[in-house]
Amino acid sequence: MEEAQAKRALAPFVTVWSDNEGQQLATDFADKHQSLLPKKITRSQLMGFSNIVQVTDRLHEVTKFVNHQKGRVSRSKEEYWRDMQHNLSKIKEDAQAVYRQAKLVPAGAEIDVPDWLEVWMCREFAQHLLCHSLYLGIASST
Amino acid sequence: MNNVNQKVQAQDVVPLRVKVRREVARTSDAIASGAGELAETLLNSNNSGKEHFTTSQMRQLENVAYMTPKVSDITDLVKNQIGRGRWPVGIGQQVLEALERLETRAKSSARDIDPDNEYPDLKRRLHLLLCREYVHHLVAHFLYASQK
Repeated sequence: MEEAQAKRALAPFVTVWSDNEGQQLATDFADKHQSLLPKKITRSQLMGFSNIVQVTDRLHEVTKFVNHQKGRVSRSKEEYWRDMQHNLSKIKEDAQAVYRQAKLVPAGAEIDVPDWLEVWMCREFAQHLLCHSLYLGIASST
Repeated sequence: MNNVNQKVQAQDVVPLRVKVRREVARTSDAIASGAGELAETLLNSNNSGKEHFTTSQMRQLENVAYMTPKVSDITDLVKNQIGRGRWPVGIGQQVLEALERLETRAKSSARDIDPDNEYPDLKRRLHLLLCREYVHHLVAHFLYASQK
């Protein structure tokens, strides 16, 4: 199936995922690390993550960025980026589930989830994360 | 006699979209006054100093609400406005909470319309439609009252 056709078929499923699991994943993560916002996990770090997600076309690049961040921060922030790695793994799993739901391949057949789907879902997650984190950062400081 | 029975059976099967439209219209009227009160709160906030809530921002909220297929895009916009300091936290939170409260109404309506849960996405769709109605009332009252 052509990519454009597949994207059209997947759009409703990604929409539902974004509104449900995607948003839950982002808000639970931000809520868990609320104490780090906005001083330790700064707006520019969040924007940096968001920018990488927007410009890349492979989830592997986002994973590399997160691994790099994890390796260069203090212990208090290491857990944040470690949990981010788990989120990316979860998004990969959910992308498989979304692909199956759309029935683009016969049931039971092996699927090869396209990179663009994983990145698409990661972008949805990143949007929810950025907005909720900015909101928590300012709400906690007032 | 068979024709009469068939007509009665046809009337029993109301299309889902009609049930949804009726339910949204009924709820819209119920939430209109709350939206109006919140619009007054936004305007009073403007009158007490800096103009936080501008016409263009309200129009942006309305446009997003009507263009997006996702509830989360609407709430993300509100969180973004609060998070970037454009809207005062307390009042911005009231807007956010009003939109989030509509989910409870959507859940109840979905149960009434689809008791057997044949349409698992119905609750989310209803929440989106109710958010659109709420934002529509909010913006309409804001614009009307700001001219008084």
